[in-house]
Amino acid sequence: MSSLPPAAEDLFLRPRSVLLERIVEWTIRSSAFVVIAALVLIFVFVGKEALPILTSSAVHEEVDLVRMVAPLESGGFSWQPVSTVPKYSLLPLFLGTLKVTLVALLFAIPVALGAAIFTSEFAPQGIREVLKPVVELLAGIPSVVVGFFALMVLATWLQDAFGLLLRLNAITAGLGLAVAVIPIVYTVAEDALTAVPQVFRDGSFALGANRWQTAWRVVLPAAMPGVFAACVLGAGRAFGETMIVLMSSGNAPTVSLDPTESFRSFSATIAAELGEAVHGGPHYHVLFFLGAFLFVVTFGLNLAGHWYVGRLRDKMQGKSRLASRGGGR
Amino acid sequence: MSTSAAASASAVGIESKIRARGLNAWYGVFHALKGITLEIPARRVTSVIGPSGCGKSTLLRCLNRMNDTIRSFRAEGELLLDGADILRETDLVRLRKRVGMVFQRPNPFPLSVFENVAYGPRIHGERNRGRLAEIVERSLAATGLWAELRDRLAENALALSAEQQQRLCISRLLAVGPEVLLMDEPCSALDPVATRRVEELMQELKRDYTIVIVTHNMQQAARASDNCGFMWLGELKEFDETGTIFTRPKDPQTEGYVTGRFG
Repeated sequence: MSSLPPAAEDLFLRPRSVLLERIVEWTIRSSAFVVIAALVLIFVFVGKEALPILTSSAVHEEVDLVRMVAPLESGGFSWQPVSTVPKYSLLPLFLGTLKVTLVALLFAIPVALGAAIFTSEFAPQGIREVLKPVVELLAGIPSVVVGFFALMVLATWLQDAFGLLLRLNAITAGLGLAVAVIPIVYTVAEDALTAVPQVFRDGSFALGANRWQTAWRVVLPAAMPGVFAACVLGAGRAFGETMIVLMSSGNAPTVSLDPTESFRSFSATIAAELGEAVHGGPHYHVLFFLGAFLFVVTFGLNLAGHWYVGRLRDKMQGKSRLASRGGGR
Repeated sequence: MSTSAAASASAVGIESKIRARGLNAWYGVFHALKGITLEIPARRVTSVIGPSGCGKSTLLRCLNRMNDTIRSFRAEGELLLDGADILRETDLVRLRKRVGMVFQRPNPFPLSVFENVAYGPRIHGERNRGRLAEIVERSLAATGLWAELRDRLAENALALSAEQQQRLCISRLLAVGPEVLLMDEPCSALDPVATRRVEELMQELKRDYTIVIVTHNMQQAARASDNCGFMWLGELKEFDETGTIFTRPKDPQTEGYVTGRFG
């Protein structure tokens, strides 16, 4: 405030402005509080609806944790919540979620990182200014549109190209999912790469390195914390994304890691079945249990990512205890 | 001015490493270097002094073509390294291997001490672990870092002190086997004790390398360099042996600058 001219300083001290400032401050503070409260309440609600799986004896007549994880009495694992003898094995859903997430990340991370490195290290100014907003625009496409595209167009292309037996499988869904994941990984990674100080690049060029060597051996390692955070965020998105997977997975809860087979994910199961499940029944609580599981996994992934990024950053700045003791890498 | 310096240099039989004749450079329409003519003797320390924005850093960055990344930059004239034209050199990798640069702020890579020094040899194709270790030891020893850091090679270079970081940057440069070391205000981020150590290091290194240093610090130029050039608004006003520049300058502006009347 001291740098302001005297007239402006008076303005700040006038009582009416002080009051206004209070109001603005409280508005901002309470909106921040609302966001946190909403998050906590969602978690409490989901947790409350999931809890009977562990505690309620009425639910236990039909399903409990052991029966969800262990093989069925009839042998094998299956997810058939509305058959005469309801079966609630989590394994098919888990494998389905796992394989579509892996396929999506396998496509999305190389493409997104490649694009990010190109944008920050190689693209001329003009192209850079167009490329970044355009890729970020991808994130704005409603996932139902991407799902529709995967279902109607991508599935046919892939079937024709690779002679697949099933149109809807983990490759189709994974590619569709990659469209949703790429913008996230790209944006965060590109920011991290651009934030690497120019002095590192200069130092590398001055030793006779070319752009490739500089990007790969200096800029990328220096941006590693941010690049890693980008990948974790992308994984979280892939794990929780619902609509694209629901539309293009085939929704068959198979026990298979084969990416050319149809599958079903946790998120798609909740979306497809919650509307039909009897309110307060075992099926209803199982679906909430899945929801709580998704919540915990994504939260854990972000938390672990955050912690690891902090550690990496300390190490990059030479602050880690490991470094000061002179330990290895 | 420059002709007399060249004459005195050849008179005592010192070969010149870099020769500039009528060197001009522009950033867009801004004329940054105006007809620079000088001869930088081999295996001596040559300093360039002058106020901010006088073109001394531009001159330095012409010598290894570091300004090529600036789109609007353009240089004309004759600039020879051992008789070969620097401005028309197409193999920048080879040029920068021969003419290395140390920057104002120490800029070690966020890698281990070992990887920092091994970086240069690696990008130039050296893969043999044994030879790399040898190069790293030799390069660190040349700057006196080996004794201090031999047990800390795996440590992140950013954990070192600023002065160690700057010496590491010099080691990193020596590892690619350059002939000329360009130093752009290498001590401006260092305290006086660290500065003295880097200056002593320059005196040792000049036995094998040609050193060109740009500095704001006139005492540093007077202490550490054998030849000195004074630049003013893009022109090289005077270039001579350092003692002459500081005691019997011929140009009135040089005299004004070195006696502290302006700058």
